Amino acid sequence: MDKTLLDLKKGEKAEVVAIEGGHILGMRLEALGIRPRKQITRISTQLMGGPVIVAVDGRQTAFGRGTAAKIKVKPLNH
Amino acid sequence: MRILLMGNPNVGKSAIFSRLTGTHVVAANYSGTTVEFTCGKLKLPDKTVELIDVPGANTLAPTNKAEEVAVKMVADGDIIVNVVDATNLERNLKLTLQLLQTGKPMLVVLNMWDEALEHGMDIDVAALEQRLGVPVVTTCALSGEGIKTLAGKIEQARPGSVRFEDEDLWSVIGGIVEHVQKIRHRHPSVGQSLSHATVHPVIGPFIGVLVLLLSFSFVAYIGEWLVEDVMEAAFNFAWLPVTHWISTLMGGEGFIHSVFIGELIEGEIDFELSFGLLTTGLFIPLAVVLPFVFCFYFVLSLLEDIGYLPRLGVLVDTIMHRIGLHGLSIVPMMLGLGCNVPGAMAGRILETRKERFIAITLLSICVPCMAQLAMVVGLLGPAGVVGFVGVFGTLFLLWILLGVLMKRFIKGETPEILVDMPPYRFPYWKGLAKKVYMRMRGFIREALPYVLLGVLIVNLLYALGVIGFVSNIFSPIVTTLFGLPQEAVGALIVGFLRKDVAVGMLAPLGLNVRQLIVASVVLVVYFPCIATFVVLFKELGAKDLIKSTLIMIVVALSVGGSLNLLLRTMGL
Repeated sequence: MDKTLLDLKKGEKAEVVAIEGGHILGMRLEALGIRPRKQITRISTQLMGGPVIVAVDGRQTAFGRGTAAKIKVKPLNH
Repeated sequence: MRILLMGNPNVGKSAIFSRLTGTHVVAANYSGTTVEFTCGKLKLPDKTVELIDVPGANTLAPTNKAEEVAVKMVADGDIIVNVVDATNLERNLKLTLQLLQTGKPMLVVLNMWDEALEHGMDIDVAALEQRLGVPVVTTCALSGEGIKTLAGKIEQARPGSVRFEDEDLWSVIGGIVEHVQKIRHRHPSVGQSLSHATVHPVIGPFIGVLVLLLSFSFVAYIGEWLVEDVMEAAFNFAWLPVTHWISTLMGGEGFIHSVFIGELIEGEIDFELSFGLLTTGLFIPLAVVLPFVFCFYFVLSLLEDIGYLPRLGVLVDTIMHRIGLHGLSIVPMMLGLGCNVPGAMAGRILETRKERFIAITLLSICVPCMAQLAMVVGLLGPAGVVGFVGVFGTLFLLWILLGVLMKRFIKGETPEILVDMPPYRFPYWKGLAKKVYMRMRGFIREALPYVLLGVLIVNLLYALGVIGFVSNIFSPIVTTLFGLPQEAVGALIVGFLRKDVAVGMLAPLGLNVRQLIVASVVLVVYFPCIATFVVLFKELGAKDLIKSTLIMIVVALSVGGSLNLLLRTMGL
């Protein structure tokens, strides 16, 4: 089963498997440290369809849910 | 010789630029503060060279406008100074390696070195130098540490020695990072906990409202205190006797007297009402507007340097999507409250034409600048709460309504927000003071000549009878539609030049509450001042500017007219 970042619970850690969507989105996410094989933690989500906040390398990034749905992840078991 | 300062967004290029050249450019703690390149002179021991602050780029394969500018500039540089965020080495090295591949002489600056140490990151500078094959220096641009070493080493820049194939980029970077960086375990810092709280889905919005309330109260109360108890008092004490003496010298009347001193109100000079160059012309910008401009830029600069604005953008993202924008468009809106000119320029951080059009049009119609706000607040004083709610409530509703309409009818896409949230930083007070000073100096330089010109033109137009003539032509609109006295036409004419002077011209007309509200709203929405108009042309292009202007005119006529009717039926 393919999971996306949206399927992660708050505080859950995962490894990025792939980024779907266009080349530009991939580049923009990569610039913020989000690319395949990186560890990513879902920090919180704004109410009413607002942005998702994640942490990569100890740094926080926010993006919309559409973007989150394009990030395929594999949850890491602690 | 031309030296390029290049690096990812928000790594401190502008702060280093200011340090190296002594010319100050605005830096802030979020990506995209610099949207256009800035040139400066850098004195090296034996010669003076040109230093260029290039907008931030994450990659040499451009994904946005700022990156396009950056990539085009690489070819014209002789030396590249690559600024790297030491707390974020891995992410930054991609651009570093791409820049090294160009074969240009280069030097790497590990900026925010102090912060990296604080976060428990040990970077072996010598090992990094050896791996990249170029000199590496460490700096803390905010405090100035390491800047002298950097200046001394610029001429040692050389082409790097690292060679790799494009597809191996990340494994090469991984190898370098593993070799040179050690991260000691650390507990989450206060800044990180605060960062979590400020974007928490429930606590975050509360903090957001609190921050905005505190900010606006600070501007309102401290601004008012500075105007009334400091500047007005100073003008009355020091300047009134001088103008009085000049007035007597000029005989108290006549054309020259009315240009310089203006009209005497009950035989006395009144700084607010006389409307001469030396009286109202100096009093409005320096005593009424400047204190508010100061307070506003102090608060804005503080929020910028702490790093709160991107978080605010995340909090308002859902609301902004209703009006066809995403959360980051709060940045141009906030800057626009200071002055519409930098606000419109900050529109460049938005990705699509649709967003830029909506943001800039909303900004120029519904967001009054601080100069205008200060004057409107003064004018509305007698109208009390009704006046404030009438003016600012109307503007806010209009902002939402126009946004919703433009979201529907303007073609194009509104992408989702995608933003790095920089760590919270303690403001560096000296840097903050300099930034506020620069913005105030900018205001005085830009505004004062226009204000004086405005006052001069008012006097000339009255003396030549032009205002009377134009008033007659437009009086149906102004008197019938807006319900204002015919003399208000003069204010609308001057409003093209400066809105603060225009609001000042309403003061002597003795307007009632309804007229005060209608006149204030119409003056905000009907047209941006000339300086903003020029920037709108640059940012939007001729075609979109005409569209935007038509929207303004239609909005001004319909809102002014319906507000007049509505307030009349309410019995005002």
